[in-house]
Amino acid sequence: MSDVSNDEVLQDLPWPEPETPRADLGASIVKQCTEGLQPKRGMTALTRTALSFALALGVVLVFGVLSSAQRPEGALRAALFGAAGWAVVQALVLAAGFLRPPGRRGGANLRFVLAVAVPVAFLAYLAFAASEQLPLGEFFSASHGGGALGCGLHALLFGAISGGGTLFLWRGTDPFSPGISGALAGLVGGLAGAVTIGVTCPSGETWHLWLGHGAAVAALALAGALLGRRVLSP
Amino acid sequence: MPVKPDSIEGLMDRYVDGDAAAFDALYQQLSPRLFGYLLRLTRHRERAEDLLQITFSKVHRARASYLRGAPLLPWVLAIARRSFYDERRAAKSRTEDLSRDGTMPEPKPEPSGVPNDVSEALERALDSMPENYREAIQLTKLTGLSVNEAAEVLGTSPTAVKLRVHRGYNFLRKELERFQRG
Repeated sequence: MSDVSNDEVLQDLPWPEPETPRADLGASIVKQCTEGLQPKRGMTALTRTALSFALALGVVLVFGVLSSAQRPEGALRAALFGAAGWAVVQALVLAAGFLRPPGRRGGANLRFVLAVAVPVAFLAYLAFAASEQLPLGEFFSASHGGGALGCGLHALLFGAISGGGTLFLWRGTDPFSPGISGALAGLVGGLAGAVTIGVTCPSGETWHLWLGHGAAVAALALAGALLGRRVLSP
Repeated sequence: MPVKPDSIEGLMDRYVDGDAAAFDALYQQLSPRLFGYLLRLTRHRERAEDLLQITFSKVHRARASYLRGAPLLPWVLAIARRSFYDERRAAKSRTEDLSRDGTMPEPKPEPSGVPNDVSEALERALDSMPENYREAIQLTKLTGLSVNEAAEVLGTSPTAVKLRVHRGYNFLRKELERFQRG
């Protein structure tokens, strides 16, 4: 597609000149924005990214690793390997989603794909890591559902600490695509919550892992998208 | 990449550091482009002035979260655009939208008759153009953003912006040909 021909035809048109707002309005705005002006320097993008990552890691360490002493060593080691792998994914999501300033970040479409693809990949990972699978009807009738609900609530709580902290750290920074940035913040938090509960929970049943651990990732990404529009936009 | 002190990004840096004179200069540079954009979005002078004030007020409050090195004009335009859509959404949810003196606002009369010159024909064509084409042309042609920057402000891809500009130009060309044929 080319718009060269259009440019050639239209470049000499009398395009409207920029209009100047009323002088008294300008004076009022300048007064409002400069009265008692003090230096106000926020954190750099790198600092915010590092703190967001540290918060996610801290949630996993404090609520997951330190509370999982009763798990068999082999199972704990496997869970920690998984947690380390997902920490790398969290770091990549933060780097791709936040590290560069708004206006220089990757395209909105790319970041949207990330917000959708990572939860899907996490659910696939849980299916791969599961050691047994009950039929869905049996899962709900055999009181496994209650255990999944407990895990789900804990995953949401831990995830909300990390995701909420990330939203707080980045508040007011993104007028361009705050919904997508919010989804990515929620995603990082959701992964932290799911990984935390994954380190402490001994269940290897697929539905339990999906509903009790994985659903929190999708739920927090969605909540982040909704909250981000308000919190991340200046 | 180092920021030039006399660029709008440099002025913003000085403003964030507490330099009031830098804000004055920043306002002089930003306000015509911002006001032109808001005027085209709202097609109502008073609303555009209100939104200009709201936008600068948000810029003032959010200055600590402005990330050094980020392009400033798209950042400010995105704040203005979001303020416009927030205000429009809020207005839609009100049953009556009274003007500041408490009366019902008069709708802007549609221009009638044949435009007097190309300038007027162009203004009318821009006003009657679909909103997404108009915004793409406004940002790239009149405000001076690059296609990538306009895509960021509009929350879409550069390809979509190019397509909107292309279709907008076609729309303008047809309208102006119709004017020239009389």
